[in-house]
Amino acid sequence: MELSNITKPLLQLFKERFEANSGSAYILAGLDDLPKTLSTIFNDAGVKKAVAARIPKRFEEVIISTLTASGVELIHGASSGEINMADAGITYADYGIAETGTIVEITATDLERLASSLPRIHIALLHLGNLLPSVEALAEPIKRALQPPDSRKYITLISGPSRTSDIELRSVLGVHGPHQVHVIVYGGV
Amino acid sequence: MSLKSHKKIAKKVSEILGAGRRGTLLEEAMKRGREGRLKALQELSDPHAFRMECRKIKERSITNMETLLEKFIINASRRGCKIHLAKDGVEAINHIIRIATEAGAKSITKTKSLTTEEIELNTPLEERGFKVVETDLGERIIQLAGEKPFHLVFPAVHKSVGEVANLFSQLMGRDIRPRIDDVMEAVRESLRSVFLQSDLGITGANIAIAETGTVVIETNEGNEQLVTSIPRIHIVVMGVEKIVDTVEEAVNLIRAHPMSSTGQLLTNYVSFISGKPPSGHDQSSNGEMHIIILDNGRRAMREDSLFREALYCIRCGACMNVCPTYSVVGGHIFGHIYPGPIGIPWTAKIHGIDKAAFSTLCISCGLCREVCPVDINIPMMIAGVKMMDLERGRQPLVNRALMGYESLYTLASVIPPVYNWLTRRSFVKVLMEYLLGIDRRRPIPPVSKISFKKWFSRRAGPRRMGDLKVSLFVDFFPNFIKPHLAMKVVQILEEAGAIVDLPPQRSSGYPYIAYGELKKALKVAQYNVDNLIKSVENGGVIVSLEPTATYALKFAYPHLLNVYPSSKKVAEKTYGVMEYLSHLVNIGRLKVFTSTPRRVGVHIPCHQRSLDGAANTIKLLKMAGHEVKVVETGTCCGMAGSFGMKKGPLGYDLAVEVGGVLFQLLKESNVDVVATESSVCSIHLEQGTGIPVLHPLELMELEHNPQTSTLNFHDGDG
Repeated sequence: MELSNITKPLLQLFKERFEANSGSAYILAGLDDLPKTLSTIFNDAGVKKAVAARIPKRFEEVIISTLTASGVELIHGASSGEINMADAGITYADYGIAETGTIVEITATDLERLASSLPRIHIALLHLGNLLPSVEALAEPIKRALQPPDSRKYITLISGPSRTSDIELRSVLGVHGPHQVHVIVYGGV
Repeated sequence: MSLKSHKKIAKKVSEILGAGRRGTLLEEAMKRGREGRLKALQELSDPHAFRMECRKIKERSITNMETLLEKFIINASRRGCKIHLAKDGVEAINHIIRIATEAGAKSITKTKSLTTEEIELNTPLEERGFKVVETDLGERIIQLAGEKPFHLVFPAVHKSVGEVANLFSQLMGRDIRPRIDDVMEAVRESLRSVFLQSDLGITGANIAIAETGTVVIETNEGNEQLVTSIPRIHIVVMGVEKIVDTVEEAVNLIRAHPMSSTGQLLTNYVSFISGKPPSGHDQSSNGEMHIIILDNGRRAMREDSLFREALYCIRCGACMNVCPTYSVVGGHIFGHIYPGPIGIPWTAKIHGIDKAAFSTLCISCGLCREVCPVDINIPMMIAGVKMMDLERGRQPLVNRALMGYESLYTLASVIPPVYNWLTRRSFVKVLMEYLLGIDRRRPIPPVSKISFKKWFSRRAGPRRMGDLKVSLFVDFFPNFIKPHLAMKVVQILEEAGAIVDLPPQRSSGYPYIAYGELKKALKVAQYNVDNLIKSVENGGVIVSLEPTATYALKFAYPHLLNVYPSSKKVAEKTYGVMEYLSHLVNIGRLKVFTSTPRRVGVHIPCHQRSLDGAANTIKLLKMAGHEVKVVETGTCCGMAGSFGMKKGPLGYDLAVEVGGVLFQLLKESNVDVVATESSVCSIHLEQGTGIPVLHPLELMELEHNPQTSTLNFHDGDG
C-alpha cells in the first residue's frame, strides 16, 4: 500500500510526538516484520509474562508464536491480580492522534483496560488508517463509540508512559502504570 | 482589606521571610509552568481565538447549567450511573458513606480531587472505619505528612526527596534510601497492593459531558485507571459547574487544561468514562458507578454577577504560576483549600470570607487574568473579596493614606520645596512610617515645582488647528512628579499635527480596586468616563501616560460600569502613549532618533501585558538606534503600585523579596539603563538594582516628519 501525501507527514508527526512523550514508535514495513519487532521489545525489556487484550484475529497466531519463540508466557488475565503478574500488556489501539503523539483505546470491560494500565510494559498495535490529525478530530469517533446510548465504555487517551514530577519536580516514568509504551504502526508503506 | 486580615497574614509572611526562603523548588515549578505554557501556546494557530472559544464553552456551560444538569442526568442514567445531588459537603459525604456502607466496602482509593478536598471527605470516611488512600503521588505524600497541598498541580513541591523517603520508610517499616528511583520503587510497591485490594474508587471529574453522560478525568500518573477499573464501585464527586454540552466542547477543554498547567499538549492519560463497564466479558456486570453532583455554594456564585466567572475555572493552576507573592509564600499561606489567585474568590464564596484573609496577599498586578485560559477576571473578583473583607473591619491606615495620595500631593504641590525638604529628612520618614505605615527605606518621590495640569492650563500658544484630536489622561505620577514627560508628550503630539486637550479628570483610582474600595473606584470611574466620553464623541482619542491608568480605562472601568455604554466607547478609543506615538511614526507623522545610543533593558509593567506588552516601546527604542533587550522573569517586579511603599512584611519586605530575581537578572544583563513606562516600577527597580531607570520617552526624540500623511488611525499600521 502506498502512503498518501497526507498520511506520510501525519505518520512522521505522530512518531515524533509519541517519542517526545517518551514512548517508542515502530513503523512496520510489512506484517512480516511484526515478530522481529515484538521479540526485540520482549528481549530488551526482559519480558517473561504477558497478557493480551483485544488483539485483532489475524494477529493472534503470529503473536502467540512470537511469544513462544521468545520464551514469554501468555497469561490469561482473568482478574486484576492476574494481569498484575504480567510484565507486558499487548493491546489494540483504536486510534492514534498525530499532533499530540497519543494512542486511544476504547474498551468495554475493566480487564481490557487494565491490560494497558497495570504491567510495566505496554505494547499497542495501531493501524495506520486510524491515525487522526488532531484531538479535535477525535470528537466524532468518541460519539460513535458511545452508541448505543446505554452502552458502557472507557475511552482512554494515552500519551506516553505513566509520569510524575511530584518529588522535587524530577520527571520520573512509571510511577503507577507502564514504564515503557511501545506502539507498532502497521498497514502502511 | 481589613486590619484584622492584614495583621493575621502579615504575621505569617514575616515568619516565612524571617526563616529564609523555602520557595526555590516552588519558584522553579512556577517558572517551568510559565515557560511550558508559552511554548505550548505556539502550537496553536491562533491562541487568542482558542482562549475565547474555551471561554465561550464555559459561559454556555454556566448559562445553561440547569438544562445541562438535567440532560447529563438522563444520559448518565441510561448508562447505569446512579446520580446523587448534594446541596453541600455534608450531603455529599453522607451519600458516599451510605454507598460505601451498603456495598460493604473497606478499602477506598482516590485520585487527586480538589472537590473532595473542598468538602474534606477523607476524615469522616476514616472515622467510620474506611481505609482511604490518596494515590496521586503528591497527594499521597501530603496525606502521609498530614498536610495540605502547597500547589494545585504540585501539591508536595515543598518536600525534599529525603523527607519523602522518610515518610515511606515509616509507612513500609524499612529503610528507603533518599534517591528518587528507590523512592519511586517503594511508592509503586506500596500503592500497588493498595490498588489491588481496593473495593471502591473515588475520583473527581475534570469535565462532564451532557450529551453522552460521560465523565472526563485527566491524570499524568495513570492512577485513575487503577482507581476506576480495579474496584467494583466507582464514585465520582464533581461540582455542578463541570458539565458541558458536547464532546466537541470537551475535547477543546482537555487541550486548554494541560497547556496552561504544565505546557503538555495533552495530559498523559485522559479518560472518557461512560458508565461502569463489566469487569470482563465472561461476567455479568455487577459494577456500580455513582456520580455525586455538588452545589455547595456554586449556584449562589452563579447568581452573583461579580463571582459568576469563578465557575469558569478549569483548575489549571496557571494563575498561581504567575502570581508574584504566591511564589514567595506558597500555598499554605496563599490559600485555604483552594490556593492561589483563583483560590481567593472560591474560598470566599465556598468556605466563607473569614477563611479568605489571604486575599490581602494579592498585590493587584493583574497577571492572573493574563494567563487564564478562559480569561477570568480574577483581579476584579479579588477586589470584590477585599471589599467583603472590609465590611468586617476597617481599612489599615497605610492603605487609606496611600489611596489618599492624590489629596496629599495636591496639597504638597502648593508648597513643593517645603514638602520635598520634609520628605528627605529622616525624622519625617520615621514619622511617616510610624504614623502612616510608609516604609522609611523607600525614597519619597519629590513633588514637582509645577503640576502638569497647572502648566497645561497656563501655557501660551497651544495648537488650535490640526486633523488629530487627542485628549490626554495624565495620572498622578506624570501630573505631580514627572510633569516634564507629559509636557514632552504635548509637544510631540502638536508636532505631529494634533490638537491636544486635557479634559477634567481624576487619577485612575486603581489603588481603590487594589485595596477593595470598589464603591470609591466606581465613583472615580464614572467621573472620568463622563468627562472623557465627550472627547470620544467629538472624534478624538484618549492617550494615557501610565500603563496602570491605561489598564484602568480599558479594562477595569468597563467592568465596574458594565451597564454603562460610554465606558466601552472610552475603552475602545484609549491608547497607551507609546502605542499612539508609534502609530504616528507608522503613518509618517513623526520620526524618531537619539543622539546617544545605549544598551537599554526593557521592563514590561504587569498592567501593560494586557495592553501592547511594551511592543511599541521596544520598537521605538530600536528605531531610535538603541540596543534593546527585554529583561523579565515572566512575573511582577513586586512593587505593584503602592504595595511596595508600605512598611513591613506585607509591603516593602515582600516587594523586595519578589523583585530579587528580576534585580539580579537586570544587574547581570549588562545594560546601561532600564526603560519602563511605569513610574512606580521605576522607583522599585532603581532602588533594587542601582541602574538608572527612565521612561522610554526620556531615551528618544520624536520630531515632525516633513513627509506627513493624513491617514486615519488604523490605516497606516502594518
